[in-house]
Amino acid sequence: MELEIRDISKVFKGKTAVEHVSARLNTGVYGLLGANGAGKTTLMRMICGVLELDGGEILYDGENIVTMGERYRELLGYLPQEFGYYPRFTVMDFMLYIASLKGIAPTMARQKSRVLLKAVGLEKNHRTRIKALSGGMKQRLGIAQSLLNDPKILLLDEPTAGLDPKERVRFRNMIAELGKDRIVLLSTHIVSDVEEIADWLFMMKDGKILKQGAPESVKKECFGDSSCSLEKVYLHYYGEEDADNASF
Amino acid sequence: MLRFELMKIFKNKLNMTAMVLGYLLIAVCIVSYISSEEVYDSGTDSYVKGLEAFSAGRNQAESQTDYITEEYVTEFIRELQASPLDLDSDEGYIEVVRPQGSMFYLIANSYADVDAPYIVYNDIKNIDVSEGAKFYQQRLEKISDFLNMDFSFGNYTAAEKAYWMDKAEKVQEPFIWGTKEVMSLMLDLSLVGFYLLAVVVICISPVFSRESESGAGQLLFTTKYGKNRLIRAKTIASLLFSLGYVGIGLMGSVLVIGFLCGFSEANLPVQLWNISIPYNITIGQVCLLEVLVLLLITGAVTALILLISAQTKSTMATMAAILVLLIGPAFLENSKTAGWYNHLIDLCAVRFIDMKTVLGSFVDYHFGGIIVDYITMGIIVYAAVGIASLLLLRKTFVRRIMQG
Repeated sequence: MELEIRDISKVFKGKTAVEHVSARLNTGVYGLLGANGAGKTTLMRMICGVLELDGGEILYDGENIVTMGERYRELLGYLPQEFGYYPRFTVMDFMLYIASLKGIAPTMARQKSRVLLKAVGLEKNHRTRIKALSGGMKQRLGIAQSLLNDPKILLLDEPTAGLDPKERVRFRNMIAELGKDRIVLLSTHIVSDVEEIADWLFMMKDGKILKQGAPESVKKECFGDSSCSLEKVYLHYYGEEDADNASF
Repeated sequence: MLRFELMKIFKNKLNMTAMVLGYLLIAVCIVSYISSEEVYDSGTDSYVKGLEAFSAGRNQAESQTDYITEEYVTEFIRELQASPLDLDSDEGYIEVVRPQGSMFYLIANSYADVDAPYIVYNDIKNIDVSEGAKFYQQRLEKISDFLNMDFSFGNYTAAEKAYWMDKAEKVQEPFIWGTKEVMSLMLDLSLVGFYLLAVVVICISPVFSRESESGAGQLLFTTKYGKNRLIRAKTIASLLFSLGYVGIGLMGSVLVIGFLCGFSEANLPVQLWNISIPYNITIGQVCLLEVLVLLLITGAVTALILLISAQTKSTMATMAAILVLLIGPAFLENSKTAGWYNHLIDLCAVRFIDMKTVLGSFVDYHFGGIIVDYITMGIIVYAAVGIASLLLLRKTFVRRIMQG
């Protein structure tokens, strides 16, 4: 299982959002770190196949994902950055809807939905309308739907937004477990989300990958000390003024 | 998937409100139309309204004749000519014209000049019936006079005149006589069907645009069926909804009016509305045609709404664009010089659904040696709009989402 990103670029109205990004992803948890506006969401969407590439290509096991079409999308699970669609749907309605879009048979869909809702702590809210959920609950629903088809490639864009500390820990444990047999790419600007669980880091700024590598080697390369905090590394590369930069 | 797409339409509060209001409006219109119907009842020498008016009109027609034969028309005119009263005076109207009901107007109109702005009642006294009324010959002469008139936006060609005369000559004679008010009411209600179309615009505009607006499209496109079956499901759900909603509204109206006022006039010829109508068709068939035309327009407009919705990120922009296309032409006036322009705006939905006007308009479209009548042209155009919109839909929506 290998996802190869080959020199991909994306330009919006003359502004480069992603510039000549290359990477290879195998089984494991990958953290995509960067400030707001670094291009993380654009990169995630390009990997998902929902944004056209302006340059380069993305291959899964050597085959172009555009050519693969449905076969590639069958492997995907995606949690978008801002989640909370169809406010009048109930939690279960939404899960079954996404399940139908993922090609899961209705009986299996209901079963899987129950299991996943329990895993994210929403089993008692299956009849609650989405608009009545808190931000954290919506986020948990988003995580649940991304796992419906047991994806081989799981892309999570700012997945811990709105989660309280206890939920964050629970989430990190879940991701660490999931990363054992699939590719998990987790995009965040919260360093602690990835510090303990990521096998590999991509540090992104202004559409480019600044640094990539295992967390220890990134830290050692920066400060010559692999035991220093990732937050320190983050501040070194992004600085105080870049922390709130949001171009898109 | 289809179930969920229908749920999205029905679970929207604004949509539900619009749907209920649409049907309420039709109910109000039915009650209003029926209660405002007024007829002079010669039996009681008084005017009657509402449901009573429909049965009074029917009784009057039955007391006159079953068929408008040449003999009947000849006798009718002779009786009027024998009256010493001035038919244009109040006394003449009350004593002679009014008791005859719509029969008088049908016959008088047939003999009036084609460009006469109104009927002069006394003109009926000047008709020469010494060799019979020649009522049906008079009808054809009137149509011929119209086709040979000079029009500022262009005259009828010889081929067009022959086309229309051929159609007019095929109308079955003698006409069956009866009261046409019930069916007229059903046909007028189809204009109310236009309001149901406005409800369709409100409910269907968000189908694609809201996915772009909310960002949900990005998530949907990562799923296995997000780029193909989902789009198909949305399209089918939208068409099912719009055709179902408008169809139920129209058929419900027809059935309600029919049960309240009767269906007995369905086999009457449309020439009872306007003697010059060249189509050999009954009033009942026209009502059915009107329903089918409205459903066709609904289908085409739905497809067009979906296409515009797929292109835009704004539900409001979609609604505004469609409402302008639907209602805007109502404010356009015919050109005095450009016949092609008049032919174009005649195909706009707001004009095309008025079947009474369409039938009596002698509008045709000619392409080389082929002449196509107004109704056929309208059907072809709306079918083409619908099909073209559906064919472009998937590509448009996919491109919209993929552009970010």
